[in-house]
Amino acid sequence: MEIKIETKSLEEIAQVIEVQGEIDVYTSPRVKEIITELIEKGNYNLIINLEGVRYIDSTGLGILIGALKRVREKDGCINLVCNNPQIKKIFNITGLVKIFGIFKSEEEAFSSLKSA
Amino acid sequence: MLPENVFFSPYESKNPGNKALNKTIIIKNRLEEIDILAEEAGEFCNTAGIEKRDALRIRLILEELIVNTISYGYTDESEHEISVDLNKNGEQVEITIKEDSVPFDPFQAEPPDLESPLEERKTGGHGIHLVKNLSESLIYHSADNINTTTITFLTGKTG
Repeated sequence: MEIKIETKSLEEIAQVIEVQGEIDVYTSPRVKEIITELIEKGNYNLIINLEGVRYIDSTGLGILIGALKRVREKDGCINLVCNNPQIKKIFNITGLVKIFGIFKSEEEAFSSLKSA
Repeated sequence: MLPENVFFSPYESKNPGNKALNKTIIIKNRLEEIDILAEEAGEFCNTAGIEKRDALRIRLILEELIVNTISYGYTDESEHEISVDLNKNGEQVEITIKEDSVPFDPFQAEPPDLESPLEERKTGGHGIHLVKNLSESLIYHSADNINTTTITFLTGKTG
């Protein structure tokens, strides 16, 4: 299982976490580590770009929910970028569409975050 | 050459033109073995002509159930075997998992509350909910210290 994670800052307002590969029981700890590092450095507005993700399991979903809980405590927000119908189906089944903003592009996710 | 823990046997179905395939994968009760399971299940799906979308769902069903078993099902440090039988006949894939962990019917577990606000949401508990929603039928039974979970999955469904 391979995963590639890159981060970048958007106008010093949000941090983008771009994930490529599979988020499963092996790779989830790495995703959690990166998100936790950003939150501990005071970044509470995150955009997680899942465009390069072809597989996510319940461990990965748990990481996303845990991260959202942490940033909300600081009045932050996590928006997701996802167009993959397979991944979106998993978000639908588990009701995550109701708690995450899910956008078609980083630009849309960022605009929503700025106007929140 | 196939690894020792894989048995792969294509055979012709009784229905003309309806090719059936069967594969048995045996792994140890270690999370590292999930990698082997994913690879072998993927190979089965390729050979059986199962489209990528359905192959990913089959993999998700397998991983959710077996990661749960490996993570919570054993009370000793001994090595145990988990057997996974994949059988495609027509549009249907039947998955049978046999293992000797502590008896636990995963399908009796309380479903997550998908309507609850974020503060009350649990980070876990979504795996079995996913399995239930992606499968056509689920049967669990335990006898003679062997737990058998049988899942049927219909390929080619829209949505």
